Amino acid sequence: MSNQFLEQIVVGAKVDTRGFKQADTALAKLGKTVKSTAGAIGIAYGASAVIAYGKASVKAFAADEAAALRLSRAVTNLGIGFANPAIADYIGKLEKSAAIADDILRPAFQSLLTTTGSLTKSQELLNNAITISRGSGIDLATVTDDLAKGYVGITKGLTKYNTGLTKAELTSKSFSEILAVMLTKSAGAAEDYLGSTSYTIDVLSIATQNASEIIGGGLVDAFARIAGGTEASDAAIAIEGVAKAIAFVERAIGTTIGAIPSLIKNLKNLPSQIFSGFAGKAAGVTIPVQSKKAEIKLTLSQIQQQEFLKKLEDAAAKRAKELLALKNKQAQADKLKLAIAKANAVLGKGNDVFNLDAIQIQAAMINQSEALAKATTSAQLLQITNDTLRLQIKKDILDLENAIASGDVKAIEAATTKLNKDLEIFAALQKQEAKLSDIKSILDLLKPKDLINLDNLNEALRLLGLINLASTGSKTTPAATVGVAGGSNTAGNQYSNQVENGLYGMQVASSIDATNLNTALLGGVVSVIGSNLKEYLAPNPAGFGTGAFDVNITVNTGVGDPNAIADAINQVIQDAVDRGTLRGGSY
Amino acid sequence: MRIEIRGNADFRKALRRFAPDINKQLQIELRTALRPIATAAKGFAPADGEVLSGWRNRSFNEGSFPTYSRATVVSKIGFKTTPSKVNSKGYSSAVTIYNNSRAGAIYESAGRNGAQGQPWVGPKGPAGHKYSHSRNKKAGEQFIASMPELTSSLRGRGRLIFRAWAANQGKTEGAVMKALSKAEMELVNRSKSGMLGKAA
Repeated sequence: MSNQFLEQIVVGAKVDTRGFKQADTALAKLGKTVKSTAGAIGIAYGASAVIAYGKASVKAFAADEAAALRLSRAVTNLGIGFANPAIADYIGKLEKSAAIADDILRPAFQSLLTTTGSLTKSQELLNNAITISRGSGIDLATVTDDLAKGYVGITKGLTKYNTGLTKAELTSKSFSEILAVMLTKSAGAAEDYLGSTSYTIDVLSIATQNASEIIGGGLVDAFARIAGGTEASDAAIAIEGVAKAIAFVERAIGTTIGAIPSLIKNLKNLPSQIFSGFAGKAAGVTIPVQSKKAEIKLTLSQIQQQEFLKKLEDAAAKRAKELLALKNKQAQADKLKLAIAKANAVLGKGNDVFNLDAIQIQAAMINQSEALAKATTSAQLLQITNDTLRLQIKKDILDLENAIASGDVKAIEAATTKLNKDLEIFAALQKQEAKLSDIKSILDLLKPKDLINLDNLNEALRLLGLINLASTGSKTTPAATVGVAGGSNTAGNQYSNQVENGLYGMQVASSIDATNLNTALLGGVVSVIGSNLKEYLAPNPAGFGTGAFDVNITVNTGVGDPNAIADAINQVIQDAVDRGTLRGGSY
Repeated sequence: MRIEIRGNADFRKALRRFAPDINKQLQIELRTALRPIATAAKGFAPADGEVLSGWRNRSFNEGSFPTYSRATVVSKIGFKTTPSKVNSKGYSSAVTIYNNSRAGAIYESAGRNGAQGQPWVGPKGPAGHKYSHSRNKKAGEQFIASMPELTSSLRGRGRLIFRAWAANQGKTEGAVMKALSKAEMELVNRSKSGMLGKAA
């Protein structure tokens, strides 16, 4: 507490800078050293600026040099090493016009050049990349990388530019088409940027970076005082100019300092190397001193350069064509793959619906359809239609499998469409909501075309009859063998009301009337065994058999066990029930 | 060998080591200059019965606020002729006049931030030494009003050492600076003449 004064008055206060003494001394020494060098160009260096010079300038220069060497090597590897100065000039101009540092432009251009293999294409893509970068706000390195990949067909990276194109479109469209979309969306962005404050700052920043690369970033403050201008571009020019001047001075100093050890070293060898001329002169003999041979550099003529460039561009164009062909081929393969996948999907769907057992059972029922036709109900008709459709679906599936096996895209698509259509119809029928009119139309669709055209057949028979008349000399026109046009009722086994219904001759079993007519024309008897085991016959014109008849089953079993006989009968009836061929009866 | 002296501490150290007689003379002169300030300041401290009754010293002090005892206050007023430590800004003082008791500091500085005293928050108000926790809202105001007015000096306002400093009218400061300057000159002169000798 004794030293902690609560209230005090201090007298004779002095600053005590012992703690800064060492640093101050060091700064003074360093400042003095630097001042002697900087005095030659009228710049007062700060100690911190000189320290920064040592670090920043070396680092910046090393990075810049490495990037330049990489690009130079890449160009040389393409066989156009002579174009290096032109490329450096292009990069330098682009750096100034677009305000993008050469550190960024060089790798970007290199990636495009190695990908496209074309100088002109690389320059075009780099300019496009700058526009897209300005428009999207994505850094140039990323944009050029994406464009380079897109050029060879890898368009995954282009999704980030919000082009509005789907993934499928990005894959299917050509690179030039995608690039056009991207440029349309980024149009004007680069020009807008040139008028912004950001551009001005970037110009100054790039000039400063260049100065750093030449002599170090620590001299920026000094340059600002030297430039004395108000415009950023003026300052930039001044900065670069002064920087180059300083670099020249430093280089000269370095050369001078570097020459001293060499001079000392050479002095040791003076008698054997240099004094030979003196010795010769003293002896009166001229000893020729061989002059250093000039280094011969092979240069290409302009024509040769043009030839090389043309060769390069041709190779690049050829490569681009190959890429396009490859892409088209891939697109075709993808299309076929897609069609097959779609077909397989439908096939699977069809297989799910298709039930072999059900088909077999329903096939048996179709055989009974004529018999069932007499017991006319819409449910029966629906059942028949279902069965027919199942068969049709099975046929469609087989067609589709064949189409897939053939690899014919159109055939696959057609078969798939047909299968889909039939499946839709089948689904409608499964819902049990189909109307009779619908069923009629479905049956019309399914009926075989022109396999047996009964109209033609009747007409042929009629003509045969005429021929017969002509050969026999008879004047009597024969009645139609099957069906009577004009309502004649001469056919003994034809119902009169069928004529009124407009049915003539053999019909497709699309209705009850048609089925009955067919049955009658074929001379068959359609009967139904009722629940009382009495058989009911269809009516006929002669009025025969319209009533019920008893059904007698005679079992020839011989003499045996009555129980065994009863079991056998029971088994037969049970089998009939299981097969679905026995209806409505009791047993 | 060149010796560079920076700041008060270096100067006194140099005096002790190379010119102890000058150092001794300097100490005498400084004490002579500073003593009147300290004596006058002690004289401005009121007697125990002159302060508010509640602030007076008592046998059992239950609170944290220090009670006033003239003896304690007077005993803690003084001066120091040795240099202080270097503060955060790099400065040190050659001599110091201090009022180093808690009650003395209160008496010295009460009312500097306003005649109303610290903001009143009451016994249940937020804790902290920057608030008045008294039951009496005007406790601070009454406490300040019971003391004499603050005296302004070139070094600050106060009732003890600052009042004494103001009353001194710079004589002490002049004497101190003169003594320090004289010692410095003497040291430099001896250095130039080569008469500096290491202390035993």
